[in-house]
Amino acid sequence: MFKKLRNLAVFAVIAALATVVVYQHYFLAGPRRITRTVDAPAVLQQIQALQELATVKYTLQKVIGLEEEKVPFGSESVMMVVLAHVKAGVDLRALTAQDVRLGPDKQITLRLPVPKILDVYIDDKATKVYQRSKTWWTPWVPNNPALEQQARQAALESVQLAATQSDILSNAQQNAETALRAFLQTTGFQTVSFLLTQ
Amino acid sequence: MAVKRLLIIVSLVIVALLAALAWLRTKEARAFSQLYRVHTFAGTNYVIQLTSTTVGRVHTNHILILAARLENPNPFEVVLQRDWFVLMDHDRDYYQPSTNGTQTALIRLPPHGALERELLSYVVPSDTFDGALALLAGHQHFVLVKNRHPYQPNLPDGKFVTFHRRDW
Repeated sequence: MFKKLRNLAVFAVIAALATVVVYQHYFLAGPRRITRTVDAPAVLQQIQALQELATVKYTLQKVIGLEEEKVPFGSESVMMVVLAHVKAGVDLRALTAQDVRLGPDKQITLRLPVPKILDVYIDDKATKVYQRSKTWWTPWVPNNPALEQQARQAALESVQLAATQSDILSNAQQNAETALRAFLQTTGFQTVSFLLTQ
Repeated sequence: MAVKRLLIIVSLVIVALLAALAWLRTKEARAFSQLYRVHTFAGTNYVIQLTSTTVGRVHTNHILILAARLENPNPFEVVLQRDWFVLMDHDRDYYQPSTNGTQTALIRLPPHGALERELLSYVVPSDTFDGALALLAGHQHFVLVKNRHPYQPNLPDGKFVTFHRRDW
């Protein structure tokens, strides 16, 4: 009788302990933690998927005058008011494995490619030809139908250079860092730092 | 009568001078836009012909835009890198063409085809125009763009001038 009671008591204790353990494991342990392991190639692939990241857009208006010397004599000229847009950013496809460094405590260090002008285009609706003329004493010299096209090309180059001489590239770099920092923090990194590009 | 004769002689001289000048300028323009058969670093032939040079100023720098006709006599596509078209000035300073924005890094010439107007843009300082300018076309073949006479581009910002000759 005593033996039976002892066995029952031992079983009851074991059952109680098991219940406590099970209860603690499933109900008191809080939300289950998922540990994600990230490696540099996976992060690199994610960032490269962003491709050409345009981070800044400038709009510039320029007056462009183009004068063409004619052969043998005379000249033809065109004057245009051009509105152009310049987009700059970083080409993340150029990022390599050496540019991504993972550190402890969810740290990541990136070396971004040098920012560059990604696109320059003319807004045709806001672009006007103001003047087009030819020297009056050379009526035999034919007009150049491509002169406006040349002026537009000159305008594009001019706008691109003007944008480069302003702060467009440093703005593009800063904005790219801000965008990528936000992107990487959503993927779980706490500290995102950038190395200076050469 | 004598005055009339003198007027005729002077008129004839002026016409002759203008004709000579026109002939000279036409000859210079032809020399500028002559065809050059060159080859790439890999030995593929192609033909280059300069058609115009445009110079302009933006802020403190100058822009030089070379327009060229490129022809591919081969039965296959020829791909040229824009970076190969280096501009050299009298001080042996070298300038690479712009390869972003409007300018693609590769120039593709279709088989037996031609690009009638390929533009090469360079950002250069003003002293570049103090002497001769040449374009590296093909493998170590220089095409003269401008002769050695100094050119002072007193141009306002946004003003461009196009030449079809070397003497400017």
